[in-house]
Amino acid sequence: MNIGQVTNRTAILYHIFYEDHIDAICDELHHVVSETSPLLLFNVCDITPDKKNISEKLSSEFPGCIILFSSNKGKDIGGKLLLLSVYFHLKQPCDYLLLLHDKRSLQALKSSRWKRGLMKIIERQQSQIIFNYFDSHKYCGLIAAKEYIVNGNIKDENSTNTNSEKIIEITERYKIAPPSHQFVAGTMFWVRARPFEDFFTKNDPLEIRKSLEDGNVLDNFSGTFTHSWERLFSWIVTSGGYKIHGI
Amino acid sequence: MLRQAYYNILAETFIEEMNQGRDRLTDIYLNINLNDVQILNEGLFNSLCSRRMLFLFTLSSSILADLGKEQLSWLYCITSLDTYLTNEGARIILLRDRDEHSTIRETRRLDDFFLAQGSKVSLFHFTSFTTADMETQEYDNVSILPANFFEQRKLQEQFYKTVLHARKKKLIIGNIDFDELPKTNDIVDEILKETDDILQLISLNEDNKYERHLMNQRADLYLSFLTISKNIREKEYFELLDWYNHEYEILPTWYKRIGHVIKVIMGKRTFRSLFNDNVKKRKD
Repeated sequence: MNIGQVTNRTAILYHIFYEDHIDAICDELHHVVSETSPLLLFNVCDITPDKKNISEKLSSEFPGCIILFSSNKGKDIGGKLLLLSVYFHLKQPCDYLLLLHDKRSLQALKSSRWKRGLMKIIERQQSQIIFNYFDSHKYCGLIAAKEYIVNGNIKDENSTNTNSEKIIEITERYKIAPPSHQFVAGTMFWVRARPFEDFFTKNDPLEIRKSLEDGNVLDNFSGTFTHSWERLFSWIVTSGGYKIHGI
Repeated sequence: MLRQAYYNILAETFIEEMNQGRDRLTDIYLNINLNDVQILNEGLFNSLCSRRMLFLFTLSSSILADLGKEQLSWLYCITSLDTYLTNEGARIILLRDRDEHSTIRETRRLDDFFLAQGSKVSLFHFTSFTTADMETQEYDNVSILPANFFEQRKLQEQFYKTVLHARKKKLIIGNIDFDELPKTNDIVDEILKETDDILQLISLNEDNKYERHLMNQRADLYLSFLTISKNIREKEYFELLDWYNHEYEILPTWYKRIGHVIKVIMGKRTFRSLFNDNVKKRKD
């Protein structure tokens, strides 16, 4: 996990928005960190109160981790794009990336169940199972909690997807053509670094971040680029010929 | 108090210190002078991450002009580190040159890059003062002190007045001859011996007002979530009701009645409830 070390197999990219979640984050990360010795990058949102204590806690619990403070742009997607930018800038290539955030979705009825379900991927000893799966299935590009791998049609008559137009716009602009519309709702998953590298070396993550909305945007009433990119994160992988596996 | 002073150091010197594993830069804050765009790279980033020292950057106008997309990107990433100096959420960058047209154009470029990422940057001019009797300059949240500030008046008294003033103003930028200040510790002396530059910055931004503002903002956010949540549930409720009206209510009466008879056969409804509304419908 030390800076400058080039042998990390995994990089963990964690976006933090809530001020009262730091103890839970440390608890849930400890064993995956000890199991994988990752390059560990955190991004704490600028408007999160008590950031100083959050960063002190993170740096004492995970010595050598990198902590950023950044604007509330594109919610967790914007935070992850900044973390990806730093990760690629550092030139310490890893085999796998683990994308996480302190999901709460206070507006949703099932938010705590949603978060718990997504976090299955970092349960104790899960990392070894995941590495083994990646090693033995070379076309597996992404692993997530299976109940949150959903098939979201972009456009059909009965669809209530508010993001359709924006998704079409982005897929055309970035030439992303996934074989299906399967994606991970919640953007927490293990991903093979290679397809992300292929895409983000051609498309600067900070340039993409510029296009995302400011503030705590929701897509319940109208479409957003932020929520559209939630799908695109999965499709970057599947359009490269890789598959999504659920656990 | 001097622990909160930002000591001026050239970026190359800083990286060299870090590479040689010297620990004299521990526990002090640094004003890192960037005099070459190429220094904005993973070496500087890693050095800053490895020691977790509070820092800020000073740039010259020629550096600003040379900042390409890659370097702007690096500058944004490095100033996003949690150890970078901010004031009310804005990253503070000092500029060494003043009143040059090119500087105005280039600072706008820097501003635009940060704004596009949703971040603010506060740029302050930080020049070497030459006029001996220059007055202290007051801005909204910054005071810039003249070069001979501490020579002019009785040192101790003025220093503590300055500190009090700084608490109100949050930030003081000064061009101070450190020989005139009370002795601090060996580390500071050693750095001063090695670096000719005596430009110093004192930052005293312990004000909690901004933190309180963030807390209030967060309380408003949680309240807005309640409203949004209500609207979303209402929307979901009406969508469900619409679905019911379309998918169930339009069914012919005879079809629905058969459904009730099936419920009785399956033991989910009492037989008597088919003929009398006052009878309990559902079987426990």
